[in-house]
Amino acid sequence: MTERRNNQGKTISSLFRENERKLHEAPSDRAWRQLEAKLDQRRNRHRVQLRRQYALAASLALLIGLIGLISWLAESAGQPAVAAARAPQIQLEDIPLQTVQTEPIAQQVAALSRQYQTAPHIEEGQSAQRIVPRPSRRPASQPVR
Amino acid sequence: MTEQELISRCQQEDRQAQRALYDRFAPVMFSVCRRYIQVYEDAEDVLAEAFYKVFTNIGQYKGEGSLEGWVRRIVVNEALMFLRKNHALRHAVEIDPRMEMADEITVVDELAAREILELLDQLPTGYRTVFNLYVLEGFKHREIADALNISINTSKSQLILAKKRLQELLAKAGYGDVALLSDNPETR
Repeated sequence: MTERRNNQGKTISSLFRENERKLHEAPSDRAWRQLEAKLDQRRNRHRVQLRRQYALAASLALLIGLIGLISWLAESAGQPAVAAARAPQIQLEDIPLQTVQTEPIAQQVAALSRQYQTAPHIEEGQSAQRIVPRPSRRPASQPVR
Repeated sequence: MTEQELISRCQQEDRQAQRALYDRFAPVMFSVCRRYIQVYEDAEDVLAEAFYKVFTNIGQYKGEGSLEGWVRRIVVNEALMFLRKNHALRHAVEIDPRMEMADEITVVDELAAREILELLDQLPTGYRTVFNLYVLEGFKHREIADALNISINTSKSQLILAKKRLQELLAKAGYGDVALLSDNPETR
């Protein structure tokens, strides 16, 4: 803008520019009170947020501590309590019994069975008789070894 | 307390420092608000809101330019926001800015604060806002157009009309002869 000026006066622009400092005037206390209330509100909001953050952090730390403690207790008692608590429900089912006969036993049974079959028949005696060893066929003079 | 200490303590939300900074700049900034906003209480509300933004954003002040200039920009922006909310700044008359401008040499040298405010208050909001931004804040028309969401020509028109109106008001108020001289249209 071309400012024009002569000795008689000044431009409207410069008139306002140069006199503008006269407008400087402190506002009433109301303005500061209003500002201070807003700043207090903000500070309180920050404090509440900070407290919430601390509470959240403390809760998390407590939770982690509790989980650690439970795990440690479960391990030391030999009972994986947490794992057991998480295990699926089960039911018992009968398992059919299976007898496994090993070959040597079968062979032994078969051998015994054959032995009994070939053994001399023992006659049942009378009530007035008793079993005594049969006299040997070896000569009496020959000593028994 | 140096300005740097004041800023540093304000960043730590030290209330005493905030009060000190407020006391240092409030008179100047309140005069800015008063030039834009007619109602005293509204100007105070805008000032409080602007200083609230100053204190909550003071971390962004990097020391480039004066602190007063930085605070002043926030105050002007806040005043413009208030005007945008409460006044139809866009509904402005547009004239041909190439027209010859009858302006503006006056024999008046001094104006009292009350007279300045009375003169400005008699201008329509659009005229007053553009006059303030161009003459007293040093904005360019392009910047005013961006700030108020109006065209550059509208900004130029509003300034011409504001000056004409002020000239008439000065004459009417009995400030002696007002020499009507032609001036170049605004070119900044």
